[in-house]
Amino acid sequence: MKSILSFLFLIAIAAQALAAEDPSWERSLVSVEVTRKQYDYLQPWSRRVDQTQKIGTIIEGNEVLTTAESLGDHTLIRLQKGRGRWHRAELAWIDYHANLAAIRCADPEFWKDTVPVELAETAPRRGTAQVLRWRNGILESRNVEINRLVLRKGRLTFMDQLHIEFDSEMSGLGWGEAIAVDGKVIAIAVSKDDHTITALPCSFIRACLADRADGAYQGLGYFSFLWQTSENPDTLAYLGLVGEPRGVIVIDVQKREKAHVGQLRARDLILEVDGYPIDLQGDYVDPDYGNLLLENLASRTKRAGDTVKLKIMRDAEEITIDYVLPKVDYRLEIVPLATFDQEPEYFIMGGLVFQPLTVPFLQSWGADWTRKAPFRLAYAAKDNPTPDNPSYIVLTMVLPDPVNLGYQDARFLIVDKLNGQRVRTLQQLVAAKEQPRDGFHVLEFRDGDTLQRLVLDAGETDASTRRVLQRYSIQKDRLIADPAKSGRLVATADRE
Amino acid sequence: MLHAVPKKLALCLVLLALARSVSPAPAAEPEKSVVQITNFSQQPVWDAPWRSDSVRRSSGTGFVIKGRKIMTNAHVVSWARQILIRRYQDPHPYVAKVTYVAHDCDLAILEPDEASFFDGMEALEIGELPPVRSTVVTYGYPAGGEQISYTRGVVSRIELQPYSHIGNRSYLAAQTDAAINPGNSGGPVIQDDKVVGVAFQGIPGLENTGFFIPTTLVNHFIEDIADSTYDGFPQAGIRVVALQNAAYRRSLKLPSNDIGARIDYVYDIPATRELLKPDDVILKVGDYDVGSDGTILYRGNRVFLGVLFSDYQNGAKVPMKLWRDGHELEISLPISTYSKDKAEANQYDVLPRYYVYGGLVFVPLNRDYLRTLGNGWSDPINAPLSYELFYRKHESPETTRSEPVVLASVLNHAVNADFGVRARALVDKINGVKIDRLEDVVKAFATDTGKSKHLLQFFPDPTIEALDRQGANEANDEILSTYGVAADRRL
Repeated sequence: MKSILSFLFLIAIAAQALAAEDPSWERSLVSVEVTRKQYDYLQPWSRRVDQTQKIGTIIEGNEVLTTAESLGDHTLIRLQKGRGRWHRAELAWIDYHANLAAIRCADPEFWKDTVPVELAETAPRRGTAQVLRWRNGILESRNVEINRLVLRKGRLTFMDQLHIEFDSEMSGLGWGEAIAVDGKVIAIAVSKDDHTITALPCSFIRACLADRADGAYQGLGYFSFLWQTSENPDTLAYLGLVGEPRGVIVIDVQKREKAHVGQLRARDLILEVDGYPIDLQGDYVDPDYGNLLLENLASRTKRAGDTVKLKIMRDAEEITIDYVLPKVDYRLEIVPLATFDQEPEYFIMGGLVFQPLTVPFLQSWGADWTRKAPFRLAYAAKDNPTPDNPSYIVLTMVLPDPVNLGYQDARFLIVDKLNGQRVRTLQQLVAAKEQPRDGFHVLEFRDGDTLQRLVLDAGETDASTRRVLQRYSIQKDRLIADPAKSGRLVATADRE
Repeated sequence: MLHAVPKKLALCLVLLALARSVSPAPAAEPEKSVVQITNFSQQPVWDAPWRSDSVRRSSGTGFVIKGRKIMTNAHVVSWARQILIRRYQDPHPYVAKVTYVAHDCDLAILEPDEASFFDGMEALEIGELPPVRSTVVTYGYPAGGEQISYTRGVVSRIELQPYSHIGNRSYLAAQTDAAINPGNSGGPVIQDDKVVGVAFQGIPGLENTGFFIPTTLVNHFIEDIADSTYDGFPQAGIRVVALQNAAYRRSLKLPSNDIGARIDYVYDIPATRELLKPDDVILKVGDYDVGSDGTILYRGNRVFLGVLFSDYQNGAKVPMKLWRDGHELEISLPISTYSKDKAEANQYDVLPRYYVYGGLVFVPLNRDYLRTLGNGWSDPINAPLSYELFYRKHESPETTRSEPVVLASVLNHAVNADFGVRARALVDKINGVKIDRLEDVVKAFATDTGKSKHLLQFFPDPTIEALDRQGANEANDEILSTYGVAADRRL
């Protein structure tokens, strides 16, 4: 019994010692509380409110830096120093693709005795770091081992970004905790699986903050082409590579066509990016971090709209082309990955519910939606957008009413036309509804192995919509974002 | 030991007594016409198509019909290497062969090698469709014992059901609560000493639910093979949906009288597309009025109208009354078997096609191959293959290939060791030539392009991989012999 007691005592001493080591962190790290709206995309008119707590880091200019995750659709942000009171705060800046946000607080009381952290220039590639967070009113500091730097898809984007990984047994991480070495922050944690913490390294954060500081925020750019590795020497020979095996093969420049299409062509061999030679696996040697995928050169020092010099080999000749980095945008994908700060859009017409096809909608089938969502909808996420087909509208359900009797089982059908007019957006659907054919609305679905068309009486539709809203306790018949003022909502046709 | 003997005897007596009480009137003895079938079968390996799985033993039931034939299920005798049949209470095994097989409706005809098999056997008579609620008895040799087994039940319902042996066809089927278990397959379902159906499938997880093939299909099969070839069931080639919405009916100027179902889609069959179009309303097929929900009253059962087309033989003309543009219209629709969706069905008895070149194994994309991949069709890793097999032809007929080809595997050898794509990849082009079917692969590799490398392009992601032409040509024989591939192709 005695030995156990003394053991506990020792641990308590050790924890105190650690916290005492870096007293300044208590003045540099804060708790962030976010209240936000959450949606059920299978009932897009309903919402609930959730609360999340995360960690923020005080930076120069009286701002709190944290990750962008869970800040979308917020209704209230509050900050807390140590065990003190909560202060109301607001968003100063957010970049969902970068997964970074800055929060400001108008209350001068909050900033008293705070110390901004120093962001390291680059993260070390190995060694021990400290992960720091507030937990139950105590500033916790634990050692973690730096594992590696790696390019991977960001939490909230389709582009590859530089991340740093740490080995750790701690749980509940990935909410903006600061990770530091020698008193400087080297990374902000974004996720934790099994034994690995994934974080955004300081160099990536600095690049985003610098972009912001110069006034005109350019945002992240990315390489919109697809490439494959060159490990098959026969393929390099076929493409006419002269000299040592090197470079990677461009296979598709059409991916996300709404984006910039450069002068690059399929079957070009990329030999160098901004002067960095590219190896057979697509890596370059980063001066700070060693071998990294070439994708990092789209965001290492460059931003959207900047030019990247690509040295390529085409028809056995080396040429250099200027590749202008397109800007990341969820709307570049036919099925957008996210719809932050946008309440779910829908349009109800005679009990038929129409919604844009988005990943948040597909996530109604859970994180495993690629397997579990209706095949045709999930597979649509792989389609390339074209000017004719920039997005999809889906008949997601039918709220039963006498007017739609016979159609109750129609659901998850991709819409092609209403009244002969092509429908790819809710605006087009609403416009087409104004032009019924001989008194009927004729709705046609995309060619497939399911229902092809249905018909409503145009004269009865509006009365039926009002009846449906009443019966199913829905306030509005539509929620459609105004494309001109993205993020602001237009709501009409109030419930009677 | 001594005391054990009387106990065993007693048990036997009880069982016998039970059996006797279940058996039908002693005058007719259908069990004497029911045979036990043992199939030693061997299936190919779809992603290594020159190989076969190990031999499997399975058993089923059959019965004697007119013309000295034995009827059973197609699935009982599929992929057979040897079929043995046994008569009721006769220890002698007879060797039999399949003379006709109908994989669509899961029926087959066997003939024994020795004509003496039929000595003293009477053919069972084929009866009518039994009424719902009437009692039937199944005869068969199900798992759980060696002797013939009888189970009694009622006809629970009769309607269109998917036939799981073929996998992509639905026909009329009768449901019964008489136990139908593995081994019952192919056995007769008897009522008043006549065959009213052939036991064939159940639904895993559902209790007291067995299905039998009704005699309408049995007779169709027997008629079909009267000319010594089996054609199969003709397809109307239309997708019919209910027409119950009042506005839709008004838009078609149709009274709301619950008559008529709507054609939503017409398949790519020229004769059908000439006569029918979407939004035609089917009022009548043959003598049957079509309800607004797409059903007809068929021998006392409300069933989907599709059942009517399986009453006709291949090449028949079906009289139909339609409603188009506000008028009635009578047509006569020629219907025939449809084979364009063969790759979507389970296929049997024909060894899979393949071609091996430079260690690259090419196979046609079909349901059998997809099944060997496991993980389910909607798994992201299989999704492009599933889309290509099941969806593309509906959504994008102009880009549909007659037989998409898959690089199924690579037989490792120095010549292909750097080839980056190793399995389950759809082949788009070889040396710039679009691959529409397996023969195109053979031709593309054989055609001289004046280049020292072959270039393969895959899809949907347009990955490319080159292969040294001379190296591959020289390595072919060695690869085939190393991997025990007897022939580089089966086309």
